[in-house]
Amino acid sequence: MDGDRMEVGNQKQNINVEVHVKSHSTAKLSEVRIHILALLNRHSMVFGNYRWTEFDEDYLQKHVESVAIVDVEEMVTQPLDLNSCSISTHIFTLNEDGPSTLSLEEDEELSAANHWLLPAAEFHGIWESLVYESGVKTQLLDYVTTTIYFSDKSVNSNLISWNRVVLLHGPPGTGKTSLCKALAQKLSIRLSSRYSYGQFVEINSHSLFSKWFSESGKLVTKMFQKIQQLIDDKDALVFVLIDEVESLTAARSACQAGTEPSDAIRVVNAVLTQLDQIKRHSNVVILTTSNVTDKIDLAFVDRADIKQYIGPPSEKGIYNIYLSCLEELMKCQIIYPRQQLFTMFELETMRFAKSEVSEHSLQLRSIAQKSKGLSGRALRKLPFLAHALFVKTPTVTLERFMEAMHQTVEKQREEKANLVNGI
Amino acid sequence: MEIPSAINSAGNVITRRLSFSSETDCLTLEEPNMTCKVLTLQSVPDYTNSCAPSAEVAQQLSTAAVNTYSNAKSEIELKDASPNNRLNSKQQRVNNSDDKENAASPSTPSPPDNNQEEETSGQSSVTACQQLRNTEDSDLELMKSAQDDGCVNVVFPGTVTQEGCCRFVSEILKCILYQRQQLPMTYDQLVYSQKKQQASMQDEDIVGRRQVQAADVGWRKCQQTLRELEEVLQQLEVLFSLSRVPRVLLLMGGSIILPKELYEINMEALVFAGGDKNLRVSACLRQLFRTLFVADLLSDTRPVHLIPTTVLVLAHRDCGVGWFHPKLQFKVPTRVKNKIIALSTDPSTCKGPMAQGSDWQDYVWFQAPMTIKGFGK
Repeated sequence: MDGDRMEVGNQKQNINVEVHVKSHSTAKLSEVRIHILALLNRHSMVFGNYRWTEFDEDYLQKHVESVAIVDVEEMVTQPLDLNSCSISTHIFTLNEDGPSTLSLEEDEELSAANHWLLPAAEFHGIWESLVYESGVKTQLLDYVTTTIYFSDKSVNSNLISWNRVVLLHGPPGTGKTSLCKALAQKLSIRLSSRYSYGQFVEINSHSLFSKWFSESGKLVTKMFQKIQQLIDDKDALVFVLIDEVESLTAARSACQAGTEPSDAIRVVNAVLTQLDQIKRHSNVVILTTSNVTDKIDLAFVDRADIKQYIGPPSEKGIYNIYLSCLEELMKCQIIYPRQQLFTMFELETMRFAKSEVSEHSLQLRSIAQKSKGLSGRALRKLPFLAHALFVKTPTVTLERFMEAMHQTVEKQREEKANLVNGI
Repeated sequence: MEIPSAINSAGNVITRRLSFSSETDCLTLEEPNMTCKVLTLQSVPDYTNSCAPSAEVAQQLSTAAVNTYSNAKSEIELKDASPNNRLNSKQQRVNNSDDKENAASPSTPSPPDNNQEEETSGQSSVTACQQLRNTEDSDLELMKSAQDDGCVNVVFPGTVTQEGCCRFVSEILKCILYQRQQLPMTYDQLVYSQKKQQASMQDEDIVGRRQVQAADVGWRKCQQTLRELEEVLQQLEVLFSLSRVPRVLLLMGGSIILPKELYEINMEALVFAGGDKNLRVSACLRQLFRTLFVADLLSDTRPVHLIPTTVLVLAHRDCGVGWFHPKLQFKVPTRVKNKIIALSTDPSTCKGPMAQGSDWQDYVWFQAPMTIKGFGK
């Protein structure tokens, strides 16, 4: 499927259609596909990304939760004609079970890793909620599809080598871990025609350190043996997430100062050798995140194919985050009555012209400009804080709420300044 | 360690049960085997219906007319017998299935520990012994095949019903949960003891409450496990009434992709028939469990931790079951050593049509939305 994508990509625009089938549906995939193609035939003109959740056809209404045209380039000025594009439909159902745990030793109470089956209900919607500079998400997506494309074409990995390691770094609260989860979810949907399911393993790195001297390295090896078991299933695409990777791969040069026991060095060595072992397999991707890149061992950084910096959101990103927050609050009728807000793209095409309809959107933009420098995590909780600190009534108008948000942003900045002064 | 725990937890029930049989026929109580018999009978399913009331009677009787000597003695014997417990249970099973009646009948005169003694004791046990020898060869074979490829074949000499099938599955589920140490007692004992505890809570509302609170966590865990198990069993019944179920999987521990243990109940080769020509469910169950115990499929010397159990069933795509979630993508894990219990109908005994492989094309896997979390005491 993805091979096709690469080959025809030049002539025709490729459109990805994600079909979310209801979890209790037992319909055959081939039948669903026929109905979806019929639906797309009927509505062949679309503007950018679009999602259907209501269907006039009974069959779709019964079996399908939503059909979405996703990840079309945002700057679409003319309508897309689906008939002239090549369409890849990705049909998936969500796994509703929570994570199961992997433990290394039989009597170990503490789990060494959490294990999800993808696509997981828990990760649904994260991808859409993450707002980054244009290109970050697609770049990551393209990286993994390329790795798999190369493996499919059996490129000699001694000549052109890649390590299947992605390192995301940046300040806290910018959604690195969420991005890893969302990426895994996205890819397991995208590649569903090739791999029948995805697996996501989140390693608790602290569980790999033993109380026994010299045992930690062995624990790392054991962990990778477990992962190896999962990889052996060629039908599965395995994502391994090592969060806060600096704890497993602390710079070995630091041990010369004598603060690091030699056991910790063995852990780094074990991780590095195991990574080299695992990269032979075509169906594994290792995702890592870190806040402090200068503490990570150079040999590990060197192995990472993509070292993506995830910074705090730009003004445009902040605007989009606020917009999605306000939309949600209006949906839940906490902000009432519902009012129209424009997307950044729409505002830009209007050239930020002041008018009655764009008044609210412009106000939100000024709040977004004020909040520059706050992390994504702080931004997502800001509407909550605004309601808690300044609103104090069950329902509120949009004007009043934005005022409260404005106050909250000021307060946040003030708190931040105090924190710095305190040190 | 499994054996002492099984004895301890089942201890009070056993003594009660013994006193009960001492009322009905007077020749028991000295035999160490008797205790083992009671233990195995707990898992004999057609005994379950009568389990709760009879035990209740037994309790009354024991307060009224039990001599302390026999009670004490049986307990000592119990300890003596404990190391051989599982072993004995196998021989017991042979005898039980041979004389086709349950424990209280006087025709089971105390089969001793080994064959030598058996020959000197009573006529009926001699015949039992001969039968035992006849079955010994096939039993050995059975055990060997079970150990080698983890597969036990149970061939029924006739047709069965869909409801019977459901009984087989639920009894196997209960048995596996007990044998793999996810339950401290058998399911039926647990239900009974829970009912009793509830009744006593109502009786002594104030005094009892403090004690209950002390054991609160364990009590709640027990209740939860029972609730979960009960719900799964009920829903299995619903499913069996909606669709034919050719295969059932019990996944223990790990994830559904890579479980720690995998048990499969394969019923593809069973022939169903309506009317009254079917085999009796109780007889089938007896045959099934005899084979299971002889093959020694379920016992494992390694201690098992409490691990969640997931039930997966293969059923028809359009059967319309709501409680189970369809798992269209699911494939039976191949990298785990699975143990298969294959139920089938002897093809020479029935004229009904055998199922073809192509019949199962429209069957998909359904997963129970909850796992059964075991508990220990």
